[in-house]
Amino acid sequence: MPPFLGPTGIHGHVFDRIARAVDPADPAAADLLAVVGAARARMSTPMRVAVAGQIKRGKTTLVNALLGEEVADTGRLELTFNVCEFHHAERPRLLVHFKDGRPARELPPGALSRLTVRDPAGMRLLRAVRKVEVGRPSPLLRHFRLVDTPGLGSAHGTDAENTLAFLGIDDPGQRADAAGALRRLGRDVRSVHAESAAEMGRADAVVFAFSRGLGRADQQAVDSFAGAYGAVVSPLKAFGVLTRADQYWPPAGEVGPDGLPADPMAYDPMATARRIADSCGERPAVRRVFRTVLPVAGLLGVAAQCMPSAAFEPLADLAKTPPHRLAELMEDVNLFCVRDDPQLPVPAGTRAALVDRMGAWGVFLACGALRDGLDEDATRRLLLERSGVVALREQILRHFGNRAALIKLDHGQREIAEEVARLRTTAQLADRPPPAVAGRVAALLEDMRVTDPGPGELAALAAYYRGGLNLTAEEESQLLAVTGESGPGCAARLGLPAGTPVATLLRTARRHVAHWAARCCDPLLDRPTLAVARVVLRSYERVADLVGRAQTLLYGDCHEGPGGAVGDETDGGNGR
Amino acid sequence: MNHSVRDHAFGRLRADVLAAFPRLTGELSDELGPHQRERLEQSRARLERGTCHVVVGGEFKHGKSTLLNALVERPGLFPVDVDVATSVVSTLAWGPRERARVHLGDPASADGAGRHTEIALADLGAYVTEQGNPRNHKHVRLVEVQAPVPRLESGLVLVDTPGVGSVNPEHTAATRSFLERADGLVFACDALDPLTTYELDFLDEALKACDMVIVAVTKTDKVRDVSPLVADAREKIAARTGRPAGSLVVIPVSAFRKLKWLRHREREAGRGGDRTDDRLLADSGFPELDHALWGGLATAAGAVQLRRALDGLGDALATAGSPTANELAALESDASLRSLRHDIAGTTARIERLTAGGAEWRTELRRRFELDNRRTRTGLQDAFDAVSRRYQEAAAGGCDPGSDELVGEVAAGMLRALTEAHERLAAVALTLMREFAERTSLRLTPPEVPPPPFAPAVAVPTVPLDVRPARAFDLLRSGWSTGMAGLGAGGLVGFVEPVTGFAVAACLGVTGVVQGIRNHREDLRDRAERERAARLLHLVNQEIAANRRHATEAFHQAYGDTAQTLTQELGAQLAAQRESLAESGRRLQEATSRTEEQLARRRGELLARQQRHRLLQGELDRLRSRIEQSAAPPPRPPRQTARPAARRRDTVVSPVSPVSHGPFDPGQFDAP
Repeated sequence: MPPFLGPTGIHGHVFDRIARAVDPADPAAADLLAVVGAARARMSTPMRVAVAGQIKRGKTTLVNALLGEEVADTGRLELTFNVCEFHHAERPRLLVHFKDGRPARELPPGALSRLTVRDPAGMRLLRAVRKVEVGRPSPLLRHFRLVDTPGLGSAHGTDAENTLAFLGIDDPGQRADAAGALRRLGRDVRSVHAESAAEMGRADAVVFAFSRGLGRADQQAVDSFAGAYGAVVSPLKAFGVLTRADQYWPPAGEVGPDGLPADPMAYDPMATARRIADSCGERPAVRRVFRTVLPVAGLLGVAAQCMPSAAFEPLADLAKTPPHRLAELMEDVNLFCVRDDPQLPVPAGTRAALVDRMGAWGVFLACGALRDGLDEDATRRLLLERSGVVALREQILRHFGNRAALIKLDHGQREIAEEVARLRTTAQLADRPPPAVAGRVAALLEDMRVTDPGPGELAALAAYYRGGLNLTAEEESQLLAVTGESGPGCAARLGLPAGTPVATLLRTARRHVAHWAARCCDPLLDRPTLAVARVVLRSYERVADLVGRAQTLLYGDCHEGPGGAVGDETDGGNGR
Repeated sequence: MNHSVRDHAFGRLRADVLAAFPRLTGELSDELGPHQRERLEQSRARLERGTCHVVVGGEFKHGKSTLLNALVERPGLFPVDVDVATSVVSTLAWGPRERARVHLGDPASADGAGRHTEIALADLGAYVTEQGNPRNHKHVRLVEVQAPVPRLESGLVLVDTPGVGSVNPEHTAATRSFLERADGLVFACDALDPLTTYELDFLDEALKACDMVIVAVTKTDKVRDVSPLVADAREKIAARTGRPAGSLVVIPVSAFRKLKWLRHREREAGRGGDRTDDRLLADSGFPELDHALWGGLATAAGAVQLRRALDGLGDALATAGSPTANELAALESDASLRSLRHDIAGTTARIERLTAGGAEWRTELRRRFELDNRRTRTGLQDAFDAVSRRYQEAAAGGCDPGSDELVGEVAAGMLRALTEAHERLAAVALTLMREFAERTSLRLTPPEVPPPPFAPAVAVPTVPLDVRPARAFDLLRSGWSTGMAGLGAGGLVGFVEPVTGFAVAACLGVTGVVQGIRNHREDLRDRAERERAARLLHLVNQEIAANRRHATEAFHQAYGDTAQTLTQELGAQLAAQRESLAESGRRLQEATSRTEEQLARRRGELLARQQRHRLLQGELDRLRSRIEQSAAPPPRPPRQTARPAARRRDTVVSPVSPVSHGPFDPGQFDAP
């Protein structure tokens, strides 16, 4: 796993300074103090990643695949309308928060799934639930809190607001079911959307899930996502996931040169899904919110990690079928699942169960792996790898983890600015002078933008993600690296592998400094690019300075170097 | 593969009716005048190039294009890809060689005139797909594809439409506008995706507008269990549309299996063998789909065409037979001979007068046509006003003036108004025609005179106007194909040309409206909300005004052409009549100069000839009853839309098909 940032945040002193500037006794500043306190606290807690998207787009399966266990209930409709937050705990626990503000109550794990609609007491409990918090001993949760949101609405400003179409449920049967469940829960469509949206606003980063390309509803959801949360969500803190990528195997649309379906043996559904994901990512509306779209086969990811070993026996039997023959038979999933075939050693019912559990592509892949002599564990690893879940975890760690501090800084800064604006507006409306504290905090925020490198880097990244910068591809990758895309260590920021000798680091850093200094002097450079170039130059200068000091002081690797002295730069983070 | 077409009820019937034409001309070789011959030839040509339009619709990515390719057994004809979505309407028809013609609309030109260009089939993707032509920026309005596909030889035109309710609202508008005048719909719904509410809404509309709707559940090879899906689809459609589930045609298909079967067959053919995996073909569901499609066509649109052709045959037979009948009547007695000669001379004189260039009926016809269509004209303008007013109100009421739904509504409303106006135009022409025919025959045969020995065969023209009055827009439909085939003989010429223009300009103009507005909208998206709404409103109003102008022009054009065709058609009828009368007169002349013996022999000849005519008529009657049988097959329950059309059609045809009430065999030639 790549390096990630520990719980202690950098840039934390920024909020410390602001907190000191607020008088706790000042009644006007009570809210502001709470906001600053939250921002400060956030800097030292794991970041919250929300999984958002329309209902029924494979979000919960995605969460299960990420956690590596089937914790989130995918089946129970009543439970899908709750926000569910996962955090790390040594042993499994379940905490339920209530709407009426009574204290949260701990329940035995799995208690909610056991509640039935027929049980009136259970329904009362479910109706009162505001949010479910689940603690699991999953390694990923050490670095993140995962928030599974029920579903964002799509159409905006139409009368569809209160219908289930708004949540993107298009099947009338499912609509009726969902309407029934909502009625039993005493909730409505708007509240589901509002809670999801609020949860997304609270989250530090967002993974937006959609399936099957962007249909009209998904597209509207992305549009309204971009419109409503354009300020909150930028490519810096969001990316998209195309779920159910395994649906492209057996190849359906893809055709060979003769216009007939492509050969399933050589066909990689993930490549197809990636192509679709890329073409989604090229839509301007999508690019504004996220730059990266990853294809993931969630079902296969879950199966690879959670399928009982017993299921490998029929797979091993199936693997005895010659590969071409198996591919040909599996190409017709329907016949594979229902028709008795003397050539297949496994009865149709078992085949169907396997396809249900891991998807047709999963069955085919697993047979291939077993045929190649891989054991169960190796097969599981291969399946997990192919499902795209490994890549997704890495992406989350890299994209969010390494830049957690920046993202959280951005989040806190924005919230404080909003609160200051609110204070000023309230005062203005009441015809009072704005409280002094508002001015003080605003000045500090302004000051911070100049003194702390974080805001500058944020602005540079924002400009980059907005597009239109006049940079070469190499310069763009340098911009991403120096702002922490691949890790917060000096080597990572220089785009070099961990353990690179200090001398090389220094040389590289100085070369970059020279290059960007030259860029800054270019009189023809447009203003936005110039601003970005200045930020990058300053960042490289800091890295060069750090490496230089490390060299003179210790003659050692800068990573183990003067961590404390330059803590606000690298936070002692390192590329082990 | 030709035999596969002949296996279907419609294909067989059509072939038999076509075969009746040469038989009739052969049998009546010396009795048909050149005018009658020409009319018969026209009627045959119309049946031969007569087309049925079947729309293949459904949400995008639900396997429509693959279904089409599998249906016509031409893998790869329409571009298929997991990430490629059809974005414009394309038609596929039979043609001797592969060609594709792209109709392009130029948004910049004020009159909305389009151009077209020929492309290679391989380049189709660059025009018809969302990827090759994103958001239809090339302004493609229609792509006509021709290929020597045996299955389409009997005149089936498949219309591939973009999705319904999917990303682009103009797709839905285009699909709907085609549905209005299609003979059938094959709706693709995906086995992997349950039917959504907007698909069901679309189907509800389609079932109201279309005689034949087949729901094909595609990709059945990709799911575990098919039958519950089919049952579920059937149930949902029944619940939404209120039709009994049993009456719906829902067929699970797997294009994959069909294509695989094709591949097997080709491989076998390459090896010289003919062992094909028939189980695969049966599993694909395509045999059932074929059956439903051809059977459905035989009952609906095809039957109309066949009836029309039979009418033409019957007309020819009766017209050719009337001199014989008259001569036989004349041979009966001197008195009848005299009265007949008198009548014929009178009728000939009247027809001469009617044919004369300055005949008063021509001006009268024009005057009446103008008068009767005044209401249509104002109705059209009123409907436009109403559409535009509704739009203004909705916009004023706070709706987003650029919203897809609202704009789509405007486009659909305008199209509906235009369609209605054209239907009314055709209906007025039909009534006038009948009236004039009746008036001319009334004057020929004053009521106090006993039943005349012959009736003048001036009939309501069967040529361009006897379309199904329920949706009198065959005109428009024939426009699609006639443009392609480069045909347009006789009375059709005047009619078809502007209609093709209209089809492309107005019908597909719907997509233009929505698209034009979308472009404006995107330019403005980033501007202030209020300003944007105001400007958008302005722009949409401009679009509406422009479309209204085009539509009105198109209507005027159609109006003028219809009027012209009316006179031309009546003129042609008169010419054919004159021919028949001249023949009768000539024979009567001969009769007077014959001896008893000659007369007896002549009567024998005539009786034999009449017997031949009767045999021919019997054949035609059998063909007609076969059509009627196939048009009402027991498993398919009567549909509301099909019935009145058929009935009204009959009322138009029967009284006017020329009936020769000879004194010896009254009712002999009564229409069945």
